[in-house]
Amino acid sequence: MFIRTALRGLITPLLLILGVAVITFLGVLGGDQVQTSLTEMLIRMVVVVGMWIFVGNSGVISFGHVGFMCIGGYAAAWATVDPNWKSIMLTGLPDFLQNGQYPFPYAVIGGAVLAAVVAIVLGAAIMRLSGIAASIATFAFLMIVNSVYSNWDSVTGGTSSIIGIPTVVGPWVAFAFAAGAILLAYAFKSSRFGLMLRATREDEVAAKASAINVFRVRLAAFVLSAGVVGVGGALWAHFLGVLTADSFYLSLSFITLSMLVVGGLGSLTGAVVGVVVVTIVVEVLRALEGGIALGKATLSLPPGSQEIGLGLVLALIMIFRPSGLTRGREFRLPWLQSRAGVVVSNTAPATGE
Amino acid sequence: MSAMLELSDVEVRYGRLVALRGLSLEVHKGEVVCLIGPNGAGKSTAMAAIAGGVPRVAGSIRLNGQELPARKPEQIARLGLSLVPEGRHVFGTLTVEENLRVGGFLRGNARESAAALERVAGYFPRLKERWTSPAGRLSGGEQQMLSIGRALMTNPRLVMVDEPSLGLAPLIVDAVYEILLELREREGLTLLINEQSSHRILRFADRIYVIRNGTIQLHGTAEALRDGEAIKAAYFGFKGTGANANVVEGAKA
Repeated sequence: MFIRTALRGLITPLLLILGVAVITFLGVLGGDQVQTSLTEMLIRMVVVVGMWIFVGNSGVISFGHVGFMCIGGYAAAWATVDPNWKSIMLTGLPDFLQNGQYPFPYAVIGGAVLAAVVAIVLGAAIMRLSGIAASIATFAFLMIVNSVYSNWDSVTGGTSSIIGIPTVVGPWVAFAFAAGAILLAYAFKSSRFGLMLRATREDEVAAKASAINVFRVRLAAFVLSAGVVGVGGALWAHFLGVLTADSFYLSLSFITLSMLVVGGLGSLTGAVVGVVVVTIVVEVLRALEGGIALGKATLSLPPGSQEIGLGLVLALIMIFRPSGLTRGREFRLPWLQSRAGVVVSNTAPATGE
Repeated sequence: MSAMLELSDVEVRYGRLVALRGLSLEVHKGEVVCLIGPNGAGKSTAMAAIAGGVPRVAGSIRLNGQELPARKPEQIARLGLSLVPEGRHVFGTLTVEENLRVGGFLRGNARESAAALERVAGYFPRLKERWTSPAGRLSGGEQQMLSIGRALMTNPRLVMVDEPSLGLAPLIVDAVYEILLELREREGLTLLINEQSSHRILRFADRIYVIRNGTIQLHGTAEALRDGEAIKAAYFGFKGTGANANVVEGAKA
């Protein structure tokens, strides 16, 4: 009985990780281009799962999480870029970053911590808002991050990119982080904080009457979520090797949010499935834009089809499955479900109807 | 005998609208007190003010002699005062079990919370049958039970139930009241209940307050108000008094 319960608790994240592992394994067998898309997808999975920790459990849509990705990415790049280059291009860094060079794991931790610290400050200000007001505030945050990182020349290189970041992130590294993010997100969802946060999402009045401090649980999730997204940013930097502030702006926000919505905000499974489905749609459209040979003729879609196609998919989902592909449910094995309810109703006499 | 809960001259406004104008009432330990009145009389506002959901302009609200903080619902819940909000606020996508566990978090201690869960399940066999279904799929009566069960999980000394009969079939309402009375017997709860209709209340309550236009119009024991005439007069604003009832003039009790 106990093993069954424990297994039931872990089955969702394990199945998700297994699914992602299979995709990764198949992708690695493909060519360079497939591997690149695969790694990109896995890093986005870290980001989207990170966003889900806050957005999915609190029900407050955040447009600002890509800002945390930017913060995490730059922080990681400061740590791993060659000090000689930094001494020319980034003269405003604090001493330990200016003259030091740190290994990749430290850079990831640094990215997570800086994003989380910023989230504490930002969250303390905006977690008292709810609904659309909070969402708009997060959007303002994204714009602020973008302006600061595009213009603070001595620290971010301004509009000229940071280059020479070691490209140490391949498919399996990205997979490991995606798996970690899934486990962490599920652990959070199942924790008492996660449950309290989901309660506030459903009904704020009743949550307060149950002695839940809405501000505090939201803030905790926001900070954890920002940290994970910061890790995603660090991975991104060490995958591309180049950073520009503008790559962390509207189009990436749009794509990550559509991943969440397509999969379904209500469940972690939704976040993971959304990343995979949207990636496949985008990749197929990208391939079609590039043109495919049909006998002697080449058939290609006009440029921009990618964005239009993604918009179309999003619209169709909103019309036919407004709560996403997963409808807010987690992926489970039916035979491991609790049977308690069924057993009781079979034995209890039907009274009081 | 000092009151467990005591409101004196509480005033609440929504913008320029005065919702409570000098409301005073008290609830003693172990009592079932009902607040009845028509729509818009201020019943729910009174409960919201006690629970810290709306700011009060004037007056004091004390629990066991201690002034309650205004606008801090989660702190007030920790003091042993639990609100079952009007209209069955359950956490729709969470399961019945999760709904109850949310209520138990303020006990702080996992074992104590598990014991409470067991006990609450015992009071509500219907909920036990629906243990793993989302609360949103329960019937209205079951949701009301769940809402009460969740309040019980917070280890309250005083439970306020805002219109438990709202939108429920009469048979279900009776079942809800039976459970509330059973809880008073077995858990030693004190209850403050809002209702619109008075005849069922006369059977269940110890004392009754009639509220209209944001003030108490009448209060007395259920015994004294049994004939219902005084209640009718106060409820609809007719002149007239009941035999042993205490009709209140103006704002002062």
